[in-house]
Amino acid sequence: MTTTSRLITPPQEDEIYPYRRAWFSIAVESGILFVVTVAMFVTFRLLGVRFTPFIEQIVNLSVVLLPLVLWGVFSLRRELSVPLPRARLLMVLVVTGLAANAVGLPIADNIFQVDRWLPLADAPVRVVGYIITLGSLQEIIKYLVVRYATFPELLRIRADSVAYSAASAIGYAVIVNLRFALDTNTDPGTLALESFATFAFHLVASVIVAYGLSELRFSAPSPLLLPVMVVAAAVIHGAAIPIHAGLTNAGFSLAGSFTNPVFGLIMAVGLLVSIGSTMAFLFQRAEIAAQEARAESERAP
Amino acid sequence: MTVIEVGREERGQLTLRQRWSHYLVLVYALTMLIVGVNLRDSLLYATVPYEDVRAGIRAFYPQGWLLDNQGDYVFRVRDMRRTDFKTTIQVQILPVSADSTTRNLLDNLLLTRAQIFGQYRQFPRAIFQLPDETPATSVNYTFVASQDDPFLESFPTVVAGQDVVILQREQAVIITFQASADEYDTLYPVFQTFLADLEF
Repeated sequence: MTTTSRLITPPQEDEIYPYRRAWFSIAVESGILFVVTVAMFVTFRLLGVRFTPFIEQIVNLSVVLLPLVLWGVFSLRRELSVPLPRARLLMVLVVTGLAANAVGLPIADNIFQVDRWLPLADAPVRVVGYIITLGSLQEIIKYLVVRYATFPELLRIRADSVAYSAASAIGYAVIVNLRFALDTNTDPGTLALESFATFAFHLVASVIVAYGLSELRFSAPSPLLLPVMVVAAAVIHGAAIPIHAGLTNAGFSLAGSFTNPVFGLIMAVGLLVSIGSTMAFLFQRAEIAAQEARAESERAP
Repeated sequence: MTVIEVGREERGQLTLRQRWSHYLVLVYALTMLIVGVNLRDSLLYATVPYEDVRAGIRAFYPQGWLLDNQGDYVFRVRDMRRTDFKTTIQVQILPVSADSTTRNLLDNLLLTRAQIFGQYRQFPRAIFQLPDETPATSVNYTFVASQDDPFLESFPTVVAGQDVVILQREQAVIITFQASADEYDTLYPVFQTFLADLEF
């Protein structure tokens, strides 16, 4: 008679990841915002549902503040439940919002005066103009807030720069959208599309700058890497504004004049997914390279 | 005695590389601010040359404005992109007798315009100096303008204007600037740029 040993391998205790997963939060927030945007578009633009002006104003404010609510639920609240929370997340969001309102928008309106000359300029000049003015201005303001609030001591892991930059992007985007909602008489469907596009452009550009910040913190790159990342963010954000407007706005044809809001939404989603996944890949690759280098140095005598 | 410091947050020291990266971003920010303002000025205040040899006038008017020299003036340019009152710069030359004064001329303008423009109101006249230090007289006024096409069903616009009058060689040069009163101060630099480049 043979007996077989029935040993069971004791379960390994999972190592608890002590930080909030920033990329997951961004994906969830963007996904929910996209679904709500599509729902608003179908309800108000395709089905033509209309409310009284007062109720529409409330719906508009809800649409604009939705990214903030989602960020509060999926980023800030979850941050409080992890062992090592990020300390200045809310501060970065609030300061970026205040800086956008007190510095960014006044410079755009009173110094660059973009509304007076850029929308009427030729297409190449319009793209370059938006890159130089609004793209650069917005990215530099967000960079300065994150840089002075967190760098370098609060960036403990690479994902910290993503979390802080996403907070600054949402802070800036909410202020821009809030102003758009208060200054224009727009239906909630159109506002939802515009709000999503602004959110996507700010988030994508901020994640690019976050990569530069994290590399500068944890690696030894060329001093040019961070400025190049800020320029890249400004170029993408600045170029996205007129291209999105060109795709969305009505064109003249023999059949009439119709707006194409779906094209703008597709562009915003495409930019968010393509650049977001590219940057996530670059972050992951940098992290693996750093781990391999650490292991190599530990193996070395 | 040992001094114990409490509550001071330990700040990470920046490396030289990190410092230089930050400085380069600040340089980029400053450069973009200057380039952006320069680009704005080059497009917003871009001009096109105009020359009338017969009248002896050379000017640079804003790019994209509609030129018209078919009226009782040397030339008139208007910003047709405006949805309210079309911002206008006009140069007119009137022959005057040797004993005519600026006051006669402005009184005549007042009487003429009061009949043409609705709610025409003139402000006190003032001594004006052109950018090339030529002495002149200016008068500011307001009137109410409405769209020529009644089917547009638009509200009338309050217009603010300025006439600059120069008497020389038995002729009076009247340079007029008219813009929507809401935008007058914003658009006045366009007129100042025009005056700075005007030769007659």
